[in-house]
Amino acid sequence: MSSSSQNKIQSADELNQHYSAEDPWEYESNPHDAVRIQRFKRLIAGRRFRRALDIGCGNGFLTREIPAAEVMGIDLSTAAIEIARSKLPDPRFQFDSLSVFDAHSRTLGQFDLVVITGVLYPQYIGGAYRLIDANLRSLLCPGGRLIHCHIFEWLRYTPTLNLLSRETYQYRDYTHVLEERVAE
Amino acid sequence: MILCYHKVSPERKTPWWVSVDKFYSDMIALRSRKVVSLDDYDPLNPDHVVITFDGVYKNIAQYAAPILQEFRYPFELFVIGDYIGRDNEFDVSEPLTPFASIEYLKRMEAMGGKVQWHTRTHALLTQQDPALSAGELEIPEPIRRCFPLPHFNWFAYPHALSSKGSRALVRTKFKGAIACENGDPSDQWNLPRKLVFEGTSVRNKKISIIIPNFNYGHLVHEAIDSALGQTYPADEILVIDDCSTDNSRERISTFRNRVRVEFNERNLGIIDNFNKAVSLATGDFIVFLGADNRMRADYLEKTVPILLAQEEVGVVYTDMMLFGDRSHLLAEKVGAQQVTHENWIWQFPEYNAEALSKLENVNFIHGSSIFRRKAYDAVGGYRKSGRPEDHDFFHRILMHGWKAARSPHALIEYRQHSENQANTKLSNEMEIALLKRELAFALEGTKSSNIVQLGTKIERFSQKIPYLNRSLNFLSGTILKSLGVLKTIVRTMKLMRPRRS
Repeated sequence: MSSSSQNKIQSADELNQHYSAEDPWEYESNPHDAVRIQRFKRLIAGRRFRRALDIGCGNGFLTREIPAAEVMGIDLSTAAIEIARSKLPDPRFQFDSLSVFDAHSRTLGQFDLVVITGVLYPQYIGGAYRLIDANLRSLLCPGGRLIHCHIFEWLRYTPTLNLLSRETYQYRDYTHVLEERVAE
Repeated sequence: MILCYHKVSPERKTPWWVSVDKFYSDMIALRSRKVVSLDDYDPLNPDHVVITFDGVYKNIAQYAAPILQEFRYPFELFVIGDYIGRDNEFDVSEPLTPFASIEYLKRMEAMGGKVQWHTRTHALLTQQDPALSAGELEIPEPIRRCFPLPHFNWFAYPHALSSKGSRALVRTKFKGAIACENGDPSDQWNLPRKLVFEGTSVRNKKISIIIPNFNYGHLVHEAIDSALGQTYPADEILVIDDCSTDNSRERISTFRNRVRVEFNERNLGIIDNFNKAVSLATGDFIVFLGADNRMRADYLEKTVPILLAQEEVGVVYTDMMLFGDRSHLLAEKVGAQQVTHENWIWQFPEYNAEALSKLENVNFIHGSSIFRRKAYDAVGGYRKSGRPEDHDFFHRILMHGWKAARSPHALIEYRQHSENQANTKLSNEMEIALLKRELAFALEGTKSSNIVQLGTKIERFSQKIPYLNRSLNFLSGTILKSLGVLKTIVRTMKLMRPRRS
């Protein structure tokens, strides 16, 4: 991951290569990611969602913590999806290889919770934030919640939804921002 | 004005590629004008705009056409006949990119596109003999059958270059033709076009966001961040500090690279500070954002098109979200809808005669409504009165005959906090992150500004091509003349050569 190349979008092949290792970003062993999980769990503690979507779910690291009757995880990398499926065979979870560009209510239906982590960076969405933002809005039912978690220094985009809460904390060499927003 | 795009895509591989976000912003900016087809275009009408694409690349069908359909703008597709459904192999300086197939062109036709001619092979007509040029202008029957009249009325010169001869040929086959910056608005067969790059502005109205600050040093970064995060960017963000006594000055200075900063030497108070801010701002549309509040990322995207499209509207107001530990107090008073225990949506009435009659006593046009500078000038700006300055200001604008319009979205996030509320720890972390991000921007800025500069250089160069061509013609003329002179000299020398006996 690098924040530099503003115009080039990383291909699925590159990401698949990356996922030849089961946990390429060392989420399972890095103490900063343990904190990240704790923050996320605290934010949604005591809540119950009907249908949730995790965009950029990778190997399912955060997906498994989502308290919803039905949880769908999508990632561009087929290799990551294979790992997620093998790790979470529970029928409550469904994993599919899908680009964020194709994640729209037309194909996936609507959700009362959408989680998106580490996706809204230029190397994944280039100069087409508008398309991604329109997709996110389509995926949320009225009053649905968007929870996103990103490295603040790399984040170039603000979702066009009202902000309900925001927290920031140290993450590796960066600052993470964890926000909850609400659909109209 | 005729605009010319080549490729529209999430990725920008060379300066000829425009991002989807930039294209969308352009389409919003055109709301202030009339987008017409070439058939309806009057080159002398400054409000008329035509949108054209040269190629036509498949990414236009994927990314640009759906946006054009959303805006209901007509558009013109200049195809290179022999390359339909293939790729741009002839364009050696560009990465290989697929052109739209007949099927994609048909899809774009259904979205408001007209198909026009850009030669068979993109050959430079000025270097062709007339017979070859005629072949380049010939539209093969199968293509013609797919797109009968009113398609193929118009022609675009490859490389924007034409000669007297080629223009005469084009005249016999097309209703009109277009070049680029080298064209002539009075010549139907050589109309000018504006090439659009990522850094090219098509706006004719400027937008200013003004953030007045007084002792909100611990919160102002959130306001600035929300202004910088607009999906339809402001032309100018002005932070004006009214002689704060806290650490506002250094905190505001963090953003110096991307916002304009003004520090008052003495405290002016709200009215004088607001009027000073407007006098410093350059925008045609102006919005004040309280330093303790935030704008939603689509504030400008939702409100500006209304001002662009309706000249009689002097001010656009929005709904708002109340947030903070005291938000329930105001929310319960005004009947706002609860989202969480600290977030409430406050909706305002639609603008109509009934609402207007009540405006004298009940303000529904909040202080962060976006107004037209002309309306501000017409009423002489903010003034001291018995009422809150914004209520008084907007009331006078409407009494003056301007209309108001409502954007029914909670585009302003309005903080209701007690003095000690601000979570200073969270605030500090945010600020450090923002500072780091500003540094990253400053570094990245040097890179992306290079691309923009490159685009500008190409734009300038392309403007020079016709002159270059003219110079080459002149040069070849000179060489021919010199050759003639040389031949004469040789002949003379031959004559003068002493005969060997």
